[in-house]
Amino acid sequence: MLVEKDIDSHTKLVTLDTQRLDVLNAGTLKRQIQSLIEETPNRLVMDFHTVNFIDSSGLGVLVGLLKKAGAPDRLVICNLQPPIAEIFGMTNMDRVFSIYPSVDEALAAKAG
Amino acid sequence: MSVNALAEQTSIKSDIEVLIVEDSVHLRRLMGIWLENLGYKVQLASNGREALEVLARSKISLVISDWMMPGMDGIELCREIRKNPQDHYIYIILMTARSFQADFIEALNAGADDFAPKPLYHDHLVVRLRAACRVIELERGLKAQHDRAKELYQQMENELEAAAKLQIELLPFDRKYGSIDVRSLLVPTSFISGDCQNHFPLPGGRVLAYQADIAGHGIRAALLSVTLQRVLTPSFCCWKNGEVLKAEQIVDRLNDRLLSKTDTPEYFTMFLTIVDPASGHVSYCQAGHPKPVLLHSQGAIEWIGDGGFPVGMLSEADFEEGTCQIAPGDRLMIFSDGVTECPAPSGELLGSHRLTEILNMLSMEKEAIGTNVEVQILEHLKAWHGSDLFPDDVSMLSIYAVKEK
Repeated sequence: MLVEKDIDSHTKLVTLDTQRLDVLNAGTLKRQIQSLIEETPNRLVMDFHTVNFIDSSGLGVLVGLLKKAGAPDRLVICNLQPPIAEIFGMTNMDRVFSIYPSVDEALAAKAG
Repeated sequence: MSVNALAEQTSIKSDIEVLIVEDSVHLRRLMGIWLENLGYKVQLASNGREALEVLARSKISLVISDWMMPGMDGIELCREIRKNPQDHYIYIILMTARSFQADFIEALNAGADDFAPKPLYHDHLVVRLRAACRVIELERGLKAQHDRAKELYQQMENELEAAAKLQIELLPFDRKYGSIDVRSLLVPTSFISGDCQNHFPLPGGRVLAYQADIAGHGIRAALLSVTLQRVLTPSFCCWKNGEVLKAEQIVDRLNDRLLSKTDTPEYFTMFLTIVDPASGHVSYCQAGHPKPVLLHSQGAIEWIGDGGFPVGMLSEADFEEGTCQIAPGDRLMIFSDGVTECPAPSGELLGSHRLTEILNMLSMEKEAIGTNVEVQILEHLKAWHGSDLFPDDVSMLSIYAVKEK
């Protein structure tokens, strides 16, 4: 459910290959991202542009992964569709995660 | 290997019942003796039709049939057996003097499992019986496991059903606190629910009412919902001196108490209100829960709240309090996300804009909205979804300021 792309030796871009992040696939995402967090030295950028539905299990897994990553700039999120952005807003997760409007901005933020 | 050694390896198979179908009386009897000596229970038939009668009344696991027979031949018998699947597998060995590829293909297609060449030799047959017994025993083992799994599943389903009943009993009764009428509605998605609601009087005359939605589904979610209901009591909402905490302080206390220590946090969203029946003043804390709606008696619809952290997810979460006022005839409706995220058959979600349309429609019908608005919303939701089996728990809590007559 992930497409990985190495940006440089410290940064990896992962694009979610699913429209829904829910109780059915959240466990798979957790396992895959967890091992990427372990092997990526600095920064994992998650591109959410395909995702148009997230449930409470999906959100819980993301928070668990952020805790695992240890710092907000080690696991960043970009390209949220409006319904997902709304849920991030409703649950204050927009204050917990580093969220960028686009992949470019997420990648540029690292240089800045 | 000697015939006796072979026979020993096949061991006593008295629990495997064999049907021999052979039109030659001589061969039929001879085979019967061979198999009985090997320890099998044996039945005999002289053609396909007779064989079907025996199969209908006995629990045959293995059929050894001649190919060429008057009346119904071996191929047709295979087809008949396969046409009506039994609760166990019937292994079929066809005896034949034929050796053409096309004949074998036809027989396998008809449902035969193996062939025994004619003329028939005792030890050839024994080897084939061993192969047959391996398959029959494997099938029996699998079936026993399957039956056991089914039994366990049934047992779990019964227990879930019992848990669901208990959970429904934990739901608060609709009741009035002075001029405030509190009603709740919960439709669990599958037996047990992760949504919960409660309301109770606080010292000093105010009322605490909340709705929560536990993340995830099933037993873990249900257990956390029961824990929440046990923990959140009037005394939990008070300082030692008896003074009542603010809404956001109660939620903060819950967050400390129920903070998840698991890898993937177990958490819940909630909307908690403290209502003063005397003044209609409401203070609330929105903890990641969908926005509730304030239905004004004059028909205006107002969505309230700016979001907030869910409970149990982060130790550093800070919670905020908001306030609103419900005048006589006004109603505060709290929904779980199972309402706005209820899908139509096309997969499209209801969304808050369509929920607003439904509420608009209901507030037009002035008569109706004064009474059981939550039930009416549920009816609209069923129509939208095309069924009353929702994919997520659907729950609503209505806090209504009764109009003086």
